[in-house]
Amino acid sequence: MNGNYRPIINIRRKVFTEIARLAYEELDPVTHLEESIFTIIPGEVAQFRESVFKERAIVGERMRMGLGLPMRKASEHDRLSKGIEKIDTNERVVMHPLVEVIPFACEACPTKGFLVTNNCRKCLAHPCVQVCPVNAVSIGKYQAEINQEKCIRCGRCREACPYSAIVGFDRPCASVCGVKAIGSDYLGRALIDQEKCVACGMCLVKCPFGAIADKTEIYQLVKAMKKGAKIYAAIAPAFVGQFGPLVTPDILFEAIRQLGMEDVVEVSLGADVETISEAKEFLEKVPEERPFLGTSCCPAWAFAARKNYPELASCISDSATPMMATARRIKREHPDAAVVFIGPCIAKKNEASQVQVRSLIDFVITFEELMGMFAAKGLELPEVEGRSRQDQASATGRNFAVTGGVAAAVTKAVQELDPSRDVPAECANGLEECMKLLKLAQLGKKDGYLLEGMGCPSGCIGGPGTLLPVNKAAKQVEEFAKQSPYASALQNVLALETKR
Amino acid sequence: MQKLHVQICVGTHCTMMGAMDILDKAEELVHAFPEQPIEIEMVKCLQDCKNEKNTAPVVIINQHKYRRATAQQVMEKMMEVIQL
Repeated sequence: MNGNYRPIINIRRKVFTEIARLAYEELDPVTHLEESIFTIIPGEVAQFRESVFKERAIVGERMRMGLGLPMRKASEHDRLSKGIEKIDTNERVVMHPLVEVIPFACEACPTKGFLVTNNCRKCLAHPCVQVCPVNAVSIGKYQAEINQEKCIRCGRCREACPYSAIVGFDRPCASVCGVKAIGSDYLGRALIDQEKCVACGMCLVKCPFGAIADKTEIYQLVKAMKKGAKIYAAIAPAFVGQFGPLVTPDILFEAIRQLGMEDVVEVSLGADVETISEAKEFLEKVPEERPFLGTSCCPAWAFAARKNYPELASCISDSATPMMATARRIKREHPDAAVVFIGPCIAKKNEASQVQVRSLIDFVITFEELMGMFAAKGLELPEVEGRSRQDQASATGRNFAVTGGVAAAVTKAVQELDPSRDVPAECANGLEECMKLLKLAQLGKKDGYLLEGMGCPSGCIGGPGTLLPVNKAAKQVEEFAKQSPYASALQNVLALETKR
Repeated sequence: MQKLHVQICVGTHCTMMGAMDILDKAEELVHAFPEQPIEIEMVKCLQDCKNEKNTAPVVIINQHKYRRATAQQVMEKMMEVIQL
């Protein structure tokens, strides 16, 4: 989440709130969809774009995706409510593709390139010309000029200019895409290659035009609660502090119950379970059976590995992810329960729709989407009276939310099981680093290592579905970890009794 | 030096609409001007949103209430007092 992108974030959150409201107030989505759009974009004066009608059209597509519907094509005639009867249900609806560019919201930013600005002094030395390996820079009438057809985008001219007159730019969406999944359509607008995309959601957060959105399951989740389903919330370790500085974990858990859920379980408990099994896997199999062990918890990292380095897939731990381990525990204790994973992550929605996970996880929503549910229900969080809560996870499990936390947890567990064993570990922070680390691993340069991959910069606390600035979230997670009575996963009695 | 009292509502709607970003930016100014007497207070819902739509986030700076506050606006109002 980037707080400087306020207008975009607020529209997204108003969409989530409206969708939750439709479900909570049991309004017919077909007849109320357009009214919701007016609630979000009121009046007749455009605030952000050239016309209020375009703003509403974009919010219309956002509402559709928020309801779990596919986007419409601007070139084909379809009702806004087309297909709504299929998603007006209390179960997960099919989601692929999860993250999409709304084409008419995209401003078709130029792709990567370099440009001479009017800071150019047309100097005598013109080092920009001297350093260009393809002779693309020349001195024009008023300033240096770059021939875009010859330019190979190496950036040497920018480095050489003593006046900082040459700027490099890239599409914000493409520049943060670690798997290089963003191309262009026939009008030059961004288009996501769904074969490459791992749904990390970074493009969605980074687009300054708010042209990228993902699908949500808010509507179906609320409908399920309304129908009396016993929903248990599995809440990801990054939750601490996300809902405001006055909202303690006690208050948050009670507020979630007041939304209509049975109870809340920390996914950090599942993180402890994963820690123990990955530690054992490392001791038993690395390096004899597997050259290295990659952690399994981050779905963006795991998908990126599977899609790009299928031969390494077996080296990504096959232990259950914390989400799965937590859900399995809940369903063992309460066989009639349904589980909603609440986290900072969009890629988890993809993980949950995989065959082996589908039976464990019924819904996935983000912290932002949960906040929309609180707002729709009119729950004033700081006024909620918290109930005392049992600590379910160790300090190391709670630290899973921050880059380095997973490797630290597994390393600690390995050394507790076998003090003689050394654990060389490396962490990749963000999907681009993940891809580099996988490349090195493929070349055999990380044999014997424990490799932690985090698709989001800073870890889960930097995820696309968060509300709190990352620096604060890191402190909050650290503080909450310190409050745990268990210093490591192996001390957590709850984790020890939970089998994978 | 005039005292600066900033009250930021961190109720559900205000938090959703950006109160924590405002808090972050206000705190940055506290660090940037350590000699200035600035009190930042996080307050529960001020009930503005119960009567009227789209008021969040609400911030009160030295008794003056700002609805639909932005971090930029809050920083600017704070700087007006700091620079006195």
